[in-house]
Amino acid sequence: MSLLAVEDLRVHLFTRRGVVRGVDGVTFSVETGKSLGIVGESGCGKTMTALALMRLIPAPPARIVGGSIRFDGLDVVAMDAARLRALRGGDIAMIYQDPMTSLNPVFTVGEQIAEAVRLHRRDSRSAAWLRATEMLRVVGIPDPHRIAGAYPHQLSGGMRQRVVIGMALACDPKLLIADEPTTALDVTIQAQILDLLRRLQGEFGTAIILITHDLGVIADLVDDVVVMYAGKVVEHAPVRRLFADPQHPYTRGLLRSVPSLQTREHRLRTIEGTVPSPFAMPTGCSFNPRCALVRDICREQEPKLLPAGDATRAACWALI
Amino acid sequence: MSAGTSRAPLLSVRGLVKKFPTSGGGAVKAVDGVSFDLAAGETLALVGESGCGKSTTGRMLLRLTEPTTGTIHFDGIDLLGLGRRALRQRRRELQIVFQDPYSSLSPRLRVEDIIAEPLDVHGLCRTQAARRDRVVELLRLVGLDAMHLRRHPFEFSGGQRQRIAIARALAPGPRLIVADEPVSALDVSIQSQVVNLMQDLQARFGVAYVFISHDLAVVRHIAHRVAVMYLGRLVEVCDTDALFDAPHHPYSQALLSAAPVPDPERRVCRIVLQGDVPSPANVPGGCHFHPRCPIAQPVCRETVPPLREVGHGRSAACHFAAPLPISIS
Repeated sequence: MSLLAVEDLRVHLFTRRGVVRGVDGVTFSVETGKSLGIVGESGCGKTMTALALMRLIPAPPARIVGGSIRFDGLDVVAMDAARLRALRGGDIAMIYQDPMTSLNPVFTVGEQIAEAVRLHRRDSRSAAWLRATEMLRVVGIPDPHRIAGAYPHQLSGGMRQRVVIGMALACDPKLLIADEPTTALDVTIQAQILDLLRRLQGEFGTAIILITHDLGVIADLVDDVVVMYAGKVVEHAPVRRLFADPQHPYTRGLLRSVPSLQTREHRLRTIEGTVPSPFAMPTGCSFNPRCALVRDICREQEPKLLPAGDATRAACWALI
Repeated sequence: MSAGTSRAPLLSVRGLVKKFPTSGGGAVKAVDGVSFDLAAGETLALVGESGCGKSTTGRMLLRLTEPTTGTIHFDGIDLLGLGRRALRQRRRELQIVFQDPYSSLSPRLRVEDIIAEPLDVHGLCRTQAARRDRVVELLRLVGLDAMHLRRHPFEFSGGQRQRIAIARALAPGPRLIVADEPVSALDVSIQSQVVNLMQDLQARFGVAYVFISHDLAVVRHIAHRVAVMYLGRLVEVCDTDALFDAPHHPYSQALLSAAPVPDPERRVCRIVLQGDVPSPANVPGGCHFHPRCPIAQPVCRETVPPLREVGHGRSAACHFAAPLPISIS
């Protein structure tokens, strides 16, 4: 049994301008100790998907209108408030792009980690404090006893992100959801944090869902990749296979439009056009107005996510 | 590749310094003695991490931020010696594009008036019809059209807004555009469209760019030369291909090797720098990079290495500058 199984998840936003299908039939699973990347451009529904996994979507306007989320055998969609509280920060932890938004500016970082520990484990104050300093050491913070007494504003962006990761892992979660964890960081600090996440995944055996727009970060860290476009999964593949032999025209376009560090091309490749407005989604395949392989059927019927070669699934009529 | 370095440069910057006062009565040196030349029609990229002074340098080139000391010559004219009126006239030739296309366009103006603003300021169109024609021409140049004239910025996507910002910068016929992280806020598929557009416009109008960016892959494609900054100082300046083939400064090497590469086969061959970028308010003595440098020696703590010529048009500020082809390919 998978640790997490998401099946045909649908999250709609009910706005004054109409209904937006933010997440429109998303299916994937994560095995214990494995890592999954969810990649896509702004507005593709990747963050909405991640928030839905812990029922953190802003409701209203958003609502889970269909599908199922099973975590460790439990039905998250039907879960009551008390069980959800235990789940959030307990078995599933989440880190966000901007560490300042997840840290309280008026408490020391040690107090904040200890608070999370006490909420979930009923440890004594002193045991929780010990655990907090231990976690700061684990995430590579020098002089953890001193830093435990520091306030967030006294730390650099990279140090804050380490604190947040330490807090997330303090209760030994089975799943860590990381939403753009390195996007706000400089590239030399990003490299440190990616190394840290990789090391901790090995040490703690935590499963990771990494959400990012950065294909370089995806290539660096995860085992499997889900590519999202306009609320749907267009391709799901093991990471090496995705980069070596992408199947869906959108995935191919995305990979080709990343400028290379190794060679200078005369012109960068692009995907023509723009992501469709959520209020004016094309019929059939959402990618059809930008697709070079478009046929009549693409404008009429939505393609299903079907096997497309070795361990890959893709949603494209041209592959059938 | 680099457009004729033998000619008199379009832009010549010497010893540029910017100090910002701090609340404690001290000063932060955001930019600490930056010098470079830029030829007409050339693209120089300023790269570095947050707080390295690249944006402050870009703003000083247009005197949007006044330098503390140093000189800037544009087309042989001393920009810092110009009075208000003369500076305003000169700015026709110096334009800027900002990172965030959501905050750099007035939400209350229509696209026509946004793009026409520099035309109005410089009195470049005598009649309403001429003004309209020029705006439509500019819209077409950046891949939009007359149907967009009456719209407001909120009706456009991020990529389209950046095209509008570029059209505005292009309007008065500048010879230099400072582009401060112009594609950083855009998705990759849109980012490459805007990079291509900027290259097309350069080929057509011969405009020079100072392209400020933290994204080395984008820089590799757009820049003729690259200047790498660290804590207010230039640490390496050279032709783009030469930098990517064999960076000489240890910081350039680390920066190149830290950039994530979209290739899962090449995961663990990076130089990971220890520690954080020090605060510009409390910079280390000697070489600013020495506390994080993998090859630092005692001399690096004592003596500031000058930016010196190390051959083939390359300058580096390191006591031990040497080619180290890092394994990025």
